[in-house]
Amino acid sequence: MTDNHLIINAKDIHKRFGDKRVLSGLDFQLPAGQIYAICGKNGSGKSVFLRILTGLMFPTSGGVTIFGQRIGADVEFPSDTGALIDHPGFLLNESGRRNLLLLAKISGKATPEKIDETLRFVGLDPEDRKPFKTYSVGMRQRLGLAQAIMEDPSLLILDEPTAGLDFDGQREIYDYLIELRKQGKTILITSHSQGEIKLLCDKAFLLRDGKLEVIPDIQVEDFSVAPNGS
Amino acid sequence: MAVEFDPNQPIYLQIMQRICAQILRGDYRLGDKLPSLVDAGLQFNVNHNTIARVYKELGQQGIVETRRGEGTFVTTDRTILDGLHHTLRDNLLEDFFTEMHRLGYSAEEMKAAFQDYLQRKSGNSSNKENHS
Repeated sequence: MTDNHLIINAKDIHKRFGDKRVLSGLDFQLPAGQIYAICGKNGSGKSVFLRILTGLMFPTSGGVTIFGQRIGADVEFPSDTGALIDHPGFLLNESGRRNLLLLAKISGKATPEKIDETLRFVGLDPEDRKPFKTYSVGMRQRLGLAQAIMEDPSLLILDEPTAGLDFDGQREIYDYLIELRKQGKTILITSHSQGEIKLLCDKAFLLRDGKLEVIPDIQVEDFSVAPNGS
Repeated sequence: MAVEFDPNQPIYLQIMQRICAQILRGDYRLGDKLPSLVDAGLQFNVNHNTIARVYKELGQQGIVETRRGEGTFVTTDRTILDGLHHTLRDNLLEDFFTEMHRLGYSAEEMKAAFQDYLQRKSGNSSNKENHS
């Protein structure tokens, strides 16, 4: 596969905080159109890596290209990419819809109609006037997801999209992600849940000792036999 | 729920067989909606792609029908399910015959053994009925 087919191409990424090495020579290439997961222990550097991918943090050395554009050189933030990292800075006293409308004013891409459609897609009511501060964890997570997808990006980078959700809430997020994958989007998530990765992902990576390695058993098992047979 | 799979056979085939059995048993009736990719994936503890493949294969056999945006439904055509019933019956008979043949039983002996078995079985069940 040539580099042209890669959506994300990160090469030899190093990241140090003082004398603490978080990422050391990390390589990561991602082709289009599937769901990928990065897992790893707390503090292994997953969120740092996602921040580097989305231009929120610079690597100490090495570079990231997304859709052929160098992050921090050609562009500040990756284009055609939606991200859910930490909690987006939603205004507490505004409704979910109004928060998205304000964000859309900054980027100027999502129309009010598209925002309403996105809110309905993630199971929120566009007519709901309740302020964000009254939202439950699940509603906040849905609004975060809506914010990430409202501009209809080809790539989604989602840091623990099901964190803090109950089982039904998680299931709904899985439904949305599979639907988005059907629409041809590439989705990169971080996750702590083996069950989630097994259900959702086409491929998974483990971040360990500052590098990413492929987790072999996660691949689609269409043609394989049961894992206990290997 | 822990789902056990036979390590010698592809998982998607085993899930297909289980879903067919559920349909034939009447757990799902004609035209019923089958679980979503996520729900079935969680139920069988497999990837959503595996369930998508199962539904695709069952769709090619006419047993289910996937409607975009709505989900996957059991066929409303009873003749397809009757055909499936016969296929599964023939498969079971084939397994029985092959195994008995391997043990050296002749066709006559198989028939006699089968009739004897049925008699004992129906005797048992009528005994049970008498007790209850």
